[in-house]
Amino acid sequence: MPLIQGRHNGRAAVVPIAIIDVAKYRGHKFSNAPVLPGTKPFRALIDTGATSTMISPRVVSSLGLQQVNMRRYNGLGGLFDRPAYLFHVAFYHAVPTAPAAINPISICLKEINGGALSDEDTFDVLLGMDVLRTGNLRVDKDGTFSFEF
Amino acid sequence: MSSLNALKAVEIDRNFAAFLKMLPNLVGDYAGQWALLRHGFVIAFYPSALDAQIAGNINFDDQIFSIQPVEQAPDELGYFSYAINPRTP
Repeated sequence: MPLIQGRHNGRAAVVPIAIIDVAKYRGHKFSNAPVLPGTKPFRALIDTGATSTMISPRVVSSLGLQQVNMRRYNGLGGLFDRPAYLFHVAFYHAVPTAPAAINPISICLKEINGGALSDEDTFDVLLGMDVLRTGNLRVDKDGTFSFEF
Repeated sequence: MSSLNALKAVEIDRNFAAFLKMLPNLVGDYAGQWALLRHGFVIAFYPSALDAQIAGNINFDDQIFSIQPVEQAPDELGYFSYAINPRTP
């Protein structure tokens, strides 16, 4: 099982991830290409209080994701609906280097139907329980965390 | 937005509105499944989002369809609920 490790600051844990369009992943899976081109790192905030993953408009526009549906959310102002997309979440084995470099990733095979966040400066993806429950998340008192899936 | 994307967005909104009305009657038999919708009607149910999306792609060349999970409870956003501004279009 892939093991992702990182550091938290006692308040939050942010991890670099890639978002991959399901259609693009399927195309890659059935090809012989060893490298999935066009992946790029986004900052994901781990949030065990969120039932589902959400992505910022930056992620949507950067990857050209196509909306597949609407999802209903319960927030501070009550119920509201957001456009949603179908994608995979992939974790980098190490902090990714230059964009042109090949950075190994492990892809969470579960398809995620995640809605669009409002613009948020401190992170690009809200990593919710739909992804986290596919593996084992551990937060340690020494300032580290790990996620095995 | 291209004309196809605009048509798709209109279809998604129309299907979502229709789906919300149907949802209470669907949960009993189809909870946990994914509905494939077109023109405000459920076409079929599938075990996963990907299965529903693939079925839509195969059956509708014009790509005018949407998918919805059959689940009654809305998603919760935990501590970062404030990250969403409901007024954002």
